[in-house]
Amino acid sequence: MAKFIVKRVFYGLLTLFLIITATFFLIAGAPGDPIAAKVEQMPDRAQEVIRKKYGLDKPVVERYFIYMKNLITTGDFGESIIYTGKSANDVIKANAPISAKIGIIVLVLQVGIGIPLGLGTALGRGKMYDHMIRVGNVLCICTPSFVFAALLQYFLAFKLKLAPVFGWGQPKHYILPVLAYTIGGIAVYNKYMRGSTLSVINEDYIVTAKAKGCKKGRIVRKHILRNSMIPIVTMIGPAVAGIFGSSFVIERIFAIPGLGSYYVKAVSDNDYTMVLGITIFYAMLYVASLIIVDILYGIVDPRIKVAGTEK
Amino acid sequence: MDTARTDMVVADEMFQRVGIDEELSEHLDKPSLTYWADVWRRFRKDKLALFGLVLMVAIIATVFLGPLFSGKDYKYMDSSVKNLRPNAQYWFGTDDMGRDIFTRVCYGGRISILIGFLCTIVMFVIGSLMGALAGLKGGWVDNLIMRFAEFVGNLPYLIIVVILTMTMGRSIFAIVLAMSLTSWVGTCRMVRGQILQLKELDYIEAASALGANTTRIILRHLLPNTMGIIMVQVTMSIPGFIFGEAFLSYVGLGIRPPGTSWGALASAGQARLMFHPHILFFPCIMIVLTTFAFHLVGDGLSDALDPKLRE
Amino acid sequence: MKNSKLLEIKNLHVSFTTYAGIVRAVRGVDLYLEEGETLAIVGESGCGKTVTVKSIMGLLPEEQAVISGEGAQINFHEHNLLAFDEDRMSAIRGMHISMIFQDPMTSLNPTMKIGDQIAESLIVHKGASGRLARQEALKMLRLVNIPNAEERIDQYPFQFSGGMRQRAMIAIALACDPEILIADEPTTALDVTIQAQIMELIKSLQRERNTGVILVTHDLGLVASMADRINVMYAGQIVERGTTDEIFYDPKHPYTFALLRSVPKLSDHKQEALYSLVGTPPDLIKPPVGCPFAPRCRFAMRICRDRPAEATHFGPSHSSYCWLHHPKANTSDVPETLLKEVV
Repeated sequence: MAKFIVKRVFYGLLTLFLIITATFFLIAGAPGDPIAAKVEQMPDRAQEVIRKKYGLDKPVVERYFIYMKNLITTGDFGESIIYTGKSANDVIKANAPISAKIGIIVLVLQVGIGIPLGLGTALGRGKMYDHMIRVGNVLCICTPSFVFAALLQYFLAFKLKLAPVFGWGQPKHYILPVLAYTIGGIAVYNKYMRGSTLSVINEDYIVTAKAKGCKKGRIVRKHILRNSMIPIVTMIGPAVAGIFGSSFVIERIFAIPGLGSYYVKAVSDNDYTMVLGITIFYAMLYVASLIIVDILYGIVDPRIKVAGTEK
Repeated sequence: MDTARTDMVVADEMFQRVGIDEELSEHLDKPSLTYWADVWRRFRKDKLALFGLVLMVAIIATVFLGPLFSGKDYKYMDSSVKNLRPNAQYWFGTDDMGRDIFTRVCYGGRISILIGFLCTIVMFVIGSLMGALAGLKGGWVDNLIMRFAEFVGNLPYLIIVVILTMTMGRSIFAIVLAMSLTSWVGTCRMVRGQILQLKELDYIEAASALGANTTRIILRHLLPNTMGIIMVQVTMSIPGFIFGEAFLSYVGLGIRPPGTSWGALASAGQARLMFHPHILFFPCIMIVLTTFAFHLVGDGLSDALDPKLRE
Repeated sequence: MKNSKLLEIKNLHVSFTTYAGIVRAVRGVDLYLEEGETLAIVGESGCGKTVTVKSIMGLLPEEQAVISGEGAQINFHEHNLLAFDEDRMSAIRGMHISMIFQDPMTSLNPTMKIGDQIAESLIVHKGASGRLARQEALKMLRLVNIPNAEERIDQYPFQFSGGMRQRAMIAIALACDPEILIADEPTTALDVTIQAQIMELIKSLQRERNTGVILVTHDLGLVASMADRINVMYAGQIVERGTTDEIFYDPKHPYTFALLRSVPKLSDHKQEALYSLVGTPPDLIKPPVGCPFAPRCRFAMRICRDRPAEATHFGPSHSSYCWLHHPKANTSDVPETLLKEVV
């Protein structure tokens, strides 16, 4: 197992390194001079100073090494070119926790509701409630979260005045974004869990368990659940990374000052260094979550756990 | 001999020898249908899938033919008819600049659906080439491609798309390229898997033992073998890409004015949600209906291709 | 031989609803099993032998399978299992009647330790504590000759070879010392060398514990050394039944005859032509009215296609369903074995 984890961590770091490098050169090679707009009005000397400050007078490769050195030694994600003095680290520190709060609540709700629902509909396959939930499920999967957000804003907030339309700061501000973000995810977990459970139910070892004299409840708990969870674990990993801000859309609609909305703003502002910094932060989370998934996978699936120790 | 027969009075000619019945012993149970006729027969039985197909055709027809009937231009602004509710002249109403929403939804839909199709095509071309190369060449080529595929498959999708569109400029071309570059992995794995399976077949092994050019034989069998999976993948990935574009445009990172798409239209409608919800409603309902239709068709198709999955 | 019928099936009919139509997989099967004996059910794949034994265990998929037949019964110790509900059935399964399956690669839960899988039936049926059940499981592993049982007990199925998995399956099935063991093609998926070991194991455990065994197989060779009695099944019906000797040396049904003659024997020096079966078994969505084997039978007569044959008894244990035994039958070129009277 230990060797298996080391291997996964190594692959993760390699992936991360490739992402950072690719992102850096992509952004450095982006059309247009990022600093041009800002310095257009300045005298040449002042331009020079600013270029020097951001290290833009040096060749790309050298800038890359400087950036990597700073990142590794001091954890410095870089400084905004648009807003002087504002570093990506500050932005992450200020905005990521807000995204995380919503993200964690949403993930817990999605998994907590979606998986039992998927298990239940699979076990009651062909029954009335299975059909009803399936149709509702397809509709939910086909509806983008911004549509849910709009519906909730219009009916719950605007017409019924049950919650604020948007804003941030008080507990009631969580209601709509969490709801809008959760619904689609429940449907997705439900769908995959249902499919996974159905395929496990048809496995020979379920017949073996029945032939042993296990009753239905025990078969579900001891034989179906763990095996049908294995493919679901892979989905939860990226979702964990998403906690911190793949919800750009929701954050923007509800004016939540999370990292996602800041990221989108940086992209629209062409704030290249900020985009680079936040992207790398996301990539780190992502890679970390992949490693966590691999470890979880090892725990759930003995083929990996044991094979890891033996080799 | 103890014969416990009830009637011994059976006519003698009944005991005439007839021997093996060639027809009956080599019976064919059902009228023999070709594979695709059989798939179509099962697909037709699935009412929901058929409904999805009709809906899909209706949406595509509306989007491409609609403007002919409405007789309006999607860019034409008439300040005397701002924010009108749906009526006989403006079927879906008008927006805040007095443009006909029906015509705009049709134009936006063309772009959204076009992006869906283009991305799928590019995804399949890249995926098939990579998969075929990996499967046919094997060895280090296979290793390299599959490692690369694993790397790409592990990238945080939306973030990569954001970076790519940012650096390539926000054209349709950039959006299509960015979304297909991050999504070919599934197709690649599928094609490679099929080729490896074909390689194992006896007659291909025999052909290669005789020194025949097996690549040609494999490729000739590849398409008929994978047609089914490809069709399911196509119907499932088109709505995925429509969704992706909608999210990008919704947060302002996708299609830019004067061009438009369902996502961009919805994004514009968001601002007017409280007092003119119809501006947001129509592009949203089109996204939902389109993805819904594709999902139903895809589900029906995969059931029809693999009847075992039904029960 | 003790003469107590442990299990008796009467007029069992099983049909399946499929998208193509209703498949009549089992059409009026009668059979019985006595204490400690081995009954083999032999037939081609798809003849309904597996369905028959699965219906004893109540393991047929509830949604599609319908058990019917006038007065259909599966009597176990005078109790009709067909009348049992799920709860009572699960008390029988694994405790009184156990089953091992064809493919040991897929029949074990991949995420559960072998020991736990064996211990499970003890926990379920005997309310054994975890520690006790584990000790019992260890004993069972040793009983089925798994080396290093102490170590193996905590391993997962993927660490076991095919033969060892089937041993583990046997350990699971016999953990509660059942009265009946149903073995459904237990060696089909295994290497030939392992096959003999597994059969030997089942045989010795059966003798030790006086377990009744129903052995389902398509392989007549496997049955010869193992079975006391054989029932030959074809297209959902039993076409001939008898003791192993009777079936092997004195087959009375052309199908049994064909099955025996289609197996080449090394010891057979007589230049008897190998008998090859032409055609395929009938479609059980539209089962034939007459004898199901008639279309493939070279001795078929007109009556064979029109009417099902009735039983002809050749002794207390031997009977066959074939029109050739009718006094009026045309027997000009029928091999003597099929016809000769047994005294």
